[in-house]
Amino acid sequence: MNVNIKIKLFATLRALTPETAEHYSIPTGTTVHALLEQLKVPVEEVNLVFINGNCGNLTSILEGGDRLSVFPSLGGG
Amino acid sequence: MPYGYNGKILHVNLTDLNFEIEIPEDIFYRKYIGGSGLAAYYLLKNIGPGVDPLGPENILIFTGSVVTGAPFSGFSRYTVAAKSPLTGGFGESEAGGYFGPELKFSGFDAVVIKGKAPKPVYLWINNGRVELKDAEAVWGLGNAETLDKIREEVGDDKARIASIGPAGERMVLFANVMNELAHANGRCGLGAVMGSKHLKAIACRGDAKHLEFADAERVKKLVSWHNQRIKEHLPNQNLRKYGTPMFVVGLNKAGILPTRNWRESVFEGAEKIGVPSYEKILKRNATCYRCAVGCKRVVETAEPYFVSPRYGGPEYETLAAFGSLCGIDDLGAVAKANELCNHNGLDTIGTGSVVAFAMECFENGVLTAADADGQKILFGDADGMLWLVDKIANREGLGDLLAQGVKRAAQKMGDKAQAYAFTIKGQEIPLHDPRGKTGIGLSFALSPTGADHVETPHDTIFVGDAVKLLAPLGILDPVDPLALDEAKVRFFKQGQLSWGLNNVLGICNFVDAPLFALSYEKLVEAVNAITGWETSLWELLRATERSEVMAKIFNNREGFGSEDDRLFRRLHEPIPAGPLKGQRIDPEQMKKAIQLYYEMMGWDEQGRPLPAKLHDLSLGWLMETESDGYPR
Repeated sequence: MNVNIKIKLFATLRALTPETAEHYSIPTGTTVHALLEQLKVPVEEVNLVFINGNCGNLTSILEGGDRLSVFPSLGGG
Repeated sequence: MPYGYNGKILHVNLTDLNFEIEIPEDIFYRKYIGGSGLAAYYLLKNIGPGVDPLGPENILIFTGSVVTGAPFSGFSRYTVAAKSPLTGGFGESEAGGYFGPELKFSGFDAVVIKGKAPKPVYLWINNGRVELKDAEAVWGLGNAETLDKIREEVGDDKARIASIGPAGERMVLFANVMNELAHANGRCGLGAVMGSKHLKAIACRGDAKHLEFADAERVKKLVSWHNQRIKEHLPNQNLRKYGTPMFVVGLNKAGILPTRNWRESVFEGAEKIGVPSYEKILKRNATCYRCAVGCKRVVETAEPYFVSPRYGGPEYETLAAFGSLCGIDDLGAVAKANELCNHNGLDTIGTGSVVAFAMECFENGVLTAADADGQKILFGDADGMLWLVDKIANREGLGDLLAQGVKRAAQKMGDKAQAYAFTIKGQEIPLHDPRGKTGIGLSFALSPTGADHVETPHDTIFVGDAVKLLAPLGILDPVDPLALDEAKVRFFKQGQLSWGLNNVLGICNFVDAPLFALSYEKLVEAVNAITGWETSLWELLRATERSEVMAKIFNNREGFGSEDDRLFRRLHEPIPAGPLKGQRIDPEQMKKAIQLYYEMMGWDEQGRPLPAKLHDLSLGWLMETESDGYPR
């Protein structure tokens, strides 16, 4: 069964945003990691994952209606 | 004994070779807490304006905080502070490793050092016993040899040692203090101050069991919670896997990697000096006292640039300072530069910056081959770069000129050199381009220690949903990295308090809110479990503001004004190429933003904290001396 999620890729990852990012179809039980691989987002460049405004990570399982935001490593120190 | 700390400050007089122990009241610790706050207090109390930073009257302070040494990941940092010979103002730098906790365990919360020893000495603090020992046998040695020899002399291979290398002894103005060969109090030339006092090292040894906590059970539970979260939290796991080197490629892709002395912001060789190229030289990761993150790097390389794993691998600032800033894409050469700096005790940001400055001078005929034993050292010349680092450490020939830092070297070289000389408050610039994150522009302009990349969390993180991380500070609207409006000033002010608190508490930015595993709520719980204070984030941030105002007043006394809170020429010019081509910082907009910051802080248009602000923070005592210019 498939569900729809919303995807936002930020900063240097933005270019990899899929056409149907506003209502992207994924099978139930897809992890963030699996989705990013599908989108050809280099997972090692991902530093922050937010799902519905809460901090998640690569192993988080996505559910229908989720809003996924993904941020690259651009910090400092 | 109080919970979490000793209640004892060690005062050392190097001129008379004696010491005394101060036992401040608990209220003193509650007000100033530690780190940058405690350091600012002692600097303001003990030196008046106009003191020679390399003279015996300067004060050098090593201090942890009330929570240093508690078994939390990242609670291992300590501050070194003095009047800076680079800026002439408040000099402060933090480092991690193992020295901070050991100092706490050895029986003292801080060491306040004045005077100058007649001959080189080192301080040995052994379970509460204090000795000043002859350092003739280690004066002149690099940091590794110093570490080994002092451990042998005191008969304890677990002694933790903070030391200067030959660069500090020779008072290179950007000389640093190193501990355990991989952790640096890098900035502000504090190693030069230590060298000017003939103090080679501080060695200490104590017992962690000596510390008592108000609620030891709660401490254990919170440590466990924190370390579990560190295992699951992506930003912490990335640091464990890749370390700070991961920022090289990220910043380059974003078009803000300082390149060739700030002339450009995209470096064609970035992939060669970042991750995953770094894996080629990475032996393993390493960590600080009790820290589950493990972000430090250990590297080993072969000829032609053989690097020993003892000295710690290059972090982001170093990779950019000797890499992109110098136009060098040879990772081995950059790792070698890092080793040379750690051995000699040189700040990698300062050293890389002065080399890049020299390179641009060579390119433009301001320096010629005659100045460098017959070689023109241009951008991309790795061997030339290493030759220069060696000369700087030894203060030989051109190295002696460059050892004074970019500002003074350029002044001596004449007008043409000024075009390539970039400093803020007299100090070289960390490797982040504010044209892509204006909050860093505010950090660079407003930090009392000169441009500082760890003044506030970086804007680029808090876009979109990620702004939720800042909600406990009242920042609720996503940050726009390129805007320099009142929202950005508001973000900067709160972020400055947040990371400033880490400097007061001696906590690593990489374990703490807003971005990393410890939430603000759990941070306060940790402080309470350790000290028994029943404090709040409010009180802790007020203590942080107190430390900011003290640092500002120190600078104001030395004659700093609003004209010193500024950027440098190239940042007002458009980025020439890349994803952020055309981006620049408008100087008028920056001036406006800085004025707004002053007003938000309760300072006047010259950046002088108003009397009401001093009273608000229990700093009325600072108005008692005429030299402040405050009405009596």
